Amino acid sequence: MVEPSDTNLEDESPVTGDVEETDEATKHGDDVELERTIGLTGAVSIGVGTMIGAGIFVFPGIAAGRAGPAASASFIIGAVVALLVALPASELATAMPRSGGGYYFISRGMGTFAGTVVGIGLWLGLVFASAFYLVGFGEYLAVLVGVESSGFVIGSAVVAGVVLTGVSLTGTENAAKIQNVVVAVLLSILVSFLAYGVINAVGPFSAGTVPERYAPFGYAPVLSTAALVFTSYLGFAQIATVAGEIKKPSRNLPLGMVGSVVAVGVMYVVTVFVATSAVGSETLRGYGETAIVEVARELLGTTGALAVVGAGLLATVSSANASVLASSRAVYALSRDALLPRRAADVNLRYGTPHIALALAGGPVVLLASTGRVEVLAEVASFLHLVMYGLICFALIALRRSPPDWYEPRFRTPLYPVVPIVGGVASFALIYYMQTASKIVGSLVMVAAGGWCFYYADDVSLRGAV
Amino acid sequence: MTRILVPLAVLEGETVSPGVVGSLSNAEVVLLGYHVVPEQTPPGQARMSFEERAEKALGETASSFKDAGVAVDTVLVFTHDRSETVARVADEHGCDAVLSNQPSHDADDILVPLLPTDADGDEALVETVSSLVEGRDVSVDVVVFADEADDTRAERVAGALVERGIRSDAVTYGSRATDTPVISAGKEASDHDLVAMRNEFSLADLVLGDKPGRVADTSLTPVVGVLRRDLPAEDI
Repeated sequence: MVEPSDTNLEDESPVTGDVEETDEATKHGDDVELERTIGLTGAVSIGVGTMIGAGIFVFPGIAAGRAGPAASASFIIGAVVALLVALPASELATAMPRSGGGYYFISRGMGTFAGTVVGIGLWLGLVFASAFYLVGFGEYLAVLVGVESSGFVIGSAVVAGVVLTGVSLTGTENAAKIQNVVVAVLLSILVSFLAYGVINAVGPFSAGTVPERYAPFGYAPVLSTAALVFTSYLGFAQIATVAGEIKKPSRNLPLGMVGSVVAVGVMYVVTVFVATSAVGSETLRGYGETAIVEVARELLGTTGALAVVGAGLLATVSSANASVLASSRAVYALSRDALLPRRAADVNLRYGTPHIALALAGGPVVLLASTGRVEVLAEVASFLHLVMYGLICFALIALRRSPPDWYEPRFRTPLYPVVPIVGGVASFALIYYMQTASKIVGSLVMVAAGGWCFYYADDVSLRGAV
Repeated sequence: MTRILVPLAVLEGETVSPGVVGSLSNAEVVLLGYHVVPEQTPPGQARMSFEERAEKALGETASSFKDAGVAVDTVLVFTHDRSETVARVADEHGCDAVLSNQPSHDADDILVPLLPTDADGDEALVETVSSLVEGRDVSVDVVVFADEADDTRAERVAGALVERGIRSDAVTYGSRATDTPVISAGKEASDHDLVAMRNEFSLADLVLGDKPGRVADTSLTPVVGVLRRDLPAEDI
């Protein structure tokens, strides 16, 4: 239990109390309940909807340019690391199905300091991710209107960021339904496109593939590319940030997280295969972020290219939106635990939206999008998430070794302790392969987060407190 | 004793009027204060901001029932989806019916509309109505709304009510020929103090909303929608 003396600089304590979790609601004390309203489809749609924006519509060109056809191996490495983390994250999520995801698990498993660093890292990591998706959106808009200027790309990214934040501030009640439809439309476009691409590459009427060595630049770029494209796998953890709102959490959280990683992983690998077979990695490199459009043009002509541009616009904007919302939930989780001022979580009665938390997410997104640095934005996002993923694995080990009496996960990680150990080590190892600039920015964010913890919330104790 | 769920949008200032308190004076009331927040707001976050205010408003409505001698239980829920919350709380608290709230001043007469979509199994309705009316001076009008006027079903329900101890001079029955039973029931209801009807699901409800809610909206009269009480579902 948290003692009343545990307060932050403003004398606020973490919000805790008697809680009972059922399949449909969280019950506080006698008569206050929080409804769970997101089903398995909603959970998968959050995961997949967040991830495909990056992995299919931004990275294939960049990745193939760096690693050649072996970029598919980079995506496979990413998928394996993501799975090794998704399994421990699933166990923790079924034991603690609360808003805040990875932050919540780590603060309860490893204490306030690690929790604060990860929580602030999650908030800002999602901000970096969202800015990255918005720049991707700008690239697609530029292709659509036929403008080749980085000013236009950055300008549209900034405008899109402002619009998204504004819309989420004033509340759209059907956001989740729209998101489900968007994801369904995207998946059908992608599956037909990829199926056609595969048949074209290896089928009986194959036009032949561009002849090329599998790893023309050797195997070292495969790893650095894996570190870069790992941003394509950040979405599964966003399912955990809404864990408090998911129905039947013990079933839907593991299924949603593992299922969405497997689904997008397969699509990424097929995408790289189709892309490199159709136009070759040297050409892909030249096209950069929107290379997949040129692949579609090669295979299906202008109509195909247009469909893929439309899908790219939808995918990047839905990824950006999902990340802003998840980031705002991280702010809420921190504020609930007195690691940020309580007023950061305020909800206004007029729109029913958390205006301060959304502004704390959307504001910096717009700022970062204005830099237009796709690769650094993506890597910093991955850096901050990978630190969290590594610690999720170690938090699982900590909780399994001395389980608090409330620790009763309904899903148990298979092959314990191999999976969390390999998952944790692999997460930190991927960081090693990133660009220096990304490592520096990521480390600065973490140092600042640690400093904030000492300054603001030194007395708050969260370990084991649910 | 019949148990009625009374959902209220507490933070939008929704309360119950004296006529509703009077009409439910024989029932056990489960008062559900709810607040719907959009997708981008975790219900727990809304709770942090609004719990105190919502509890206060809910407590005031609860007292108006208690002052009238009605047994009342309260629940406060923050949710993304009103209908899911109403269905869940009704189920968990074993409620027989759900109120679609509208203001009413008196509690003197009840309309019991019988619709074609709920042709068989009126027992639960009879039980709820007789339990609400028992020992009170209330008149009950049982009316069939169907494409052909036929009193048979209304007569059977009225008879069952009398068998359960309602004074026969307090019960009338009749029928109306109509192509739009729900709208006609709503119009008929506007000069009553309460409506009690069955809440049977049909496909049109997906678009138009549940029938008790539609009758309440048309008539501006409070409606008690009696739920189908199935055999206890096996929990898997």
